[in-house]
Amino acid sequence: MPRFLLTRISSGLVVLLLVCLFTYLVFFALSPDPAVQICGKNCTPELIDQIRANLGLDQPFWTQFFLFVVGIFAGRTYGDGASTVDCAAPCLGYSFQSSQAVWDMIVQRLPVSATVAVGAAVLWLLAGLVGGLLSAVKEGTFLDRFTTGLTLTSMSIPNYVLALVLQYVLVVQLQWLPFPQAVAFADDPVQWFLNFVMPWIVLAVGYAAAYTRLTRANVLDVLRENYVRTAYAKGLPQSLIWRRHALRPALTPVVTIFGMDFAGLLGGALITETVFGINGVGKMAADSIARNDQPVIMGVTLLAGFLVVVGNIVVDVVYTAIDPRVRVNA
Amino acid sequence: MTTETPSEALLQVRDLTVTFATPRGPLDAVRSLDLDLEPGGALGIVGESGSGKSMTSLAIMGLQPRAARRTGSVRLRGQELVGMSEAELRRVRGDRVAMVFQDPLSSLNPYYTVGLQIEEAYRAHRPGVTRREAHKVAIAALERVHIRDAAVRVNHYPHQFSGGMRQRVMIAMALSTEPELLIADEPTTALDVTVQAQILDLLQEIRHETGTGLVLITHDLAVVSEITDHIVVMKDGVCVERGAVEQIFTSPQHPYTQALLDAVPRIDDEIGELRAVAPSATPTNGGPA
Amino acid sequence: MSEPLLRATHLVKEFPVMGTGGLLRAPVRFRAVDDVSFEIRAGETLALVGESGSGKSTTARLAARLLDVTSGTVELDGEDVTALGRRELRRFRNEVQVVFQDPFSSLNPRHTVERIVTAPLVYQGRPVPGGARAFTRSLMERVGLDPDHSQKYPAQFSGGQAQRIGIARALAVSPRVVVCDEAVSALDVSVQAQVINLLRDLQREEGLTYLFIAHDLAVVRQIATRVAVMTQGQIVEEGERDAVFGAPQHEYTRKLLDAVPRIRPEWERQRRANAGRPAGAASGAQA
Repeated sequence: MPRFLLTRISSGLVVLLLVCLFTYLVFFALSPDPAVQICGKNCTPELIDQIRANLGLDQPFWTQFFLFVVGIFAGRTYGDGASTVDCAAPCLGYSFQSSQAVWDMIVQRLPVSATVAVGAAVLWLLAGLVGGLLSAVKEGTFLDRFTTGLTLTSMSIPNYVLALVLQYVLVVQLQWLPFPQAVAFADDPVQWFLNFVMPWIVLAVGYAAAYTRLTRANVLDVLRENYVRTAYAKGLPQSLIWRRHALRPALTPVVTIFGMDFAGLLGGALITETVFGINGVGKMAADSIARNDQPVIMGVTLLAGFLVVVGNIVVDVVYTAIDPRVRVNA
Repeated sequence: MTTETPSEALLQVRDLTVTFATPRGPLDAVRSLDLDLEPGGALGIVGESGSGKSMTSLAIMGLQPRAARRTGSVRLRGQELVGMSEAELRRVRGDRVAMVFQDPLSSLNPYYTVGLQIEEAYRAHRPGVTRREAHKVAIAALERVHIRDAAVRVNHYPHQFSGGMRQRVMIAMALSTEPELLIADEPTTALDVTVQAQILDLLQEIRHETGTGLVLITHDLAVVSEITDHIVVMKDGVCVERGAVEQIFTSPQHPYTQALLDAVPRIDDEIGELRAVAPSATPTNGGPA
Repeated sequence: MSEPLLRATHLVKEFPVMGTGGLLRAPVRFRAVDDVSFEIRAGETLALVGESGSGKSTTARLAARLLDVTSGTVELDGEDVTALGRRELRRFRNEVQVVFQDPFSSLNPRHTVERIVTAPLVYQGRPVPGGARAFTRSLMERVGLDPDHSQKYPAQFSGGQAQRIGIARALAVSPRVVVCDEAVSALDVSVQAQVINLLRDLQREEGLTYLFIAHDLAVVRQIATRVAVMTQGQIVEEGERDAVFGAPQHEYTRKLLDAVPRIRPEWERQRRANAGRPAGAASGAQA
């Protein structure tokens, strides 16, 4: 077990390093000279050279990349002589735009994105599991066909369209929800909560539909398994057959997928956060892309990669706990 | 309800018919089948694929697919099973009649230890039995089918057993409730020939020691010839011939039985042209299942 | 004694064991075939018998070059084919064909019999002798199928008929060696007998050479010239069929033969005596 974990973590690190290298390569090749960007309007060639030297942009690509990676683990110091800036351990550089440390920007916005992700996940898990189970139990009935129709529709509506429609209907027309306002949780918990309701729904709808279909298919597959037939032949009570022999095998794959989906979302929901003006990692990513703020884009990309890798490892560990076949072979 | 007498048949099936509704009209998977089994007897149901033999075994237990309709009569020691409520049937299944299936790996749930799967079968029919007591029964059941280190193996998962050992587990599970009748549907078909021999020996041994009645469903004529005393030959859902095992093997009356016997490749025999049953060169309608 | 047509020498095949490899660690290797050698002379049938996991199917795949050997050589007509390149391999494929266990999963369900049977030639860009239709008809006749059904799809045939299509496809390139990998194992007894008869007839009439892989000893008895018994990746006994069945030398062979269920010989004699005259009627056509 520990050896299996070690292997997974080491290969995860390699993946992250590759993600790092790839994003660095892309932005190194594509972005216009960042020094010119930072320098702004009143600029002289000398100033640009100085900025370059401070940020290490005058170094060859591999040196820059190496310094960047080292900075993440050990921190780094920009510039030399009189004007040095110390960037502490998880150093992802500074935003070209706001000169804030990228790490601090992420840490500041991560809780917001996490709130969005957690709420949405609770919603879609509930809806997906209940919908899928009902659909499977009532296979072929009107309810089943209705659910199938609903999931297909939900999956084909783009997030931003759903967001706009919801805002129009729930806030403007029905006025069931107040107009979103920026408040801290401590100041006005109710308004804070209501702010998140629409983003949660918008994010959850697509996933809920996918999970409904997945759950339905899994349950129906498992019910056709020979071991379920065995359970009936043993004369077990119906409830026990469902609980023990159908649900656990049917829901195990859902755990896997959930881990990955959730990990992906923690790193920010780009479209939803932007549409609702939520100041999370997703919106930050969208803004930084629009402004070509290279260090921020790098940071967010790395964060997303990190979360997916970690999510994968967690899923693997959980899986070994649920599925005895994996447990013993590992 | 008829009164039970010692001479009463263990299993008496009359006019059993299993019908599926298809777009082309009703289709009988089993038609007007009669079966008789005395207590402690062993009945072989032989047939090729599509003969309805497996459907017969499920229908006896009321486990035919939901889309199928079962009519006729299935009496277990005189008690009619057709028309019983689900709750009543549940008390019969696994307790008085137990089943062993073809593929032991897929017939055991991979998520649970074999011990738990035996325990739940036992406890379903013995209300008030504690987990600990059931656990002891499970160990005893595994020992009964000659699984070594039963006290350790009881906590293992199905995939940790070999194919033959898994089938022993299935048999142990079936026997844990001391059923009157054991229905074995192709119990050795998925197994290697040396393992098959061991499982067949085990089934024989159990019959002789416990007096459990056996219905053995198989495509293998040599297997039924070795361990059953009566045989029913099925084809296309219908019984074409029935009789004592020696009678069927020495003087088969129906042409299909004769052809089937001729087609069996012999291991000890000189080689001649194998007799083929009804050679045909034209496609079948609808294709095979 | 003539030269063998197909010769395998010291075949070894290893597979990596799933889940044992790491980032920097080589996976544990499992030896499925462990130093196997055999020879088949033209017109003979060598049967490889064994239980599951004995390595018999892997050996067949190595001989047909569907898998690459870890070490050892396969020779066809004295020529080492273990390291053939792509082009020479095509020539080898015309000499050695394979018939698989499950006829339905090895035939493309969306293609007609004609397309399936002519595919080996078409893929090679070779002309189909006499045109596709006539070629297919003659092949179907050879394997005992109604040639009028050349435009039907595999699902419209029964299991035994589908296996005949598989055999017809193998014969399309006029191979000298046919590897039958459990080719009759999935079939019902009655159909199995027909397909065994077909394989024997084809051998007698056209001088085909078979490498016949099976777990069923009774079937092997009906078709083999020579028998090789495999267990745990090795051949433990090899010899003429009647010698192996009549006087098995290796303990494992004896165990295997003992385990085969048998109809009592006295019943068999009795039945033949009883059948007497009407026995011939048994092979007549019934529905």
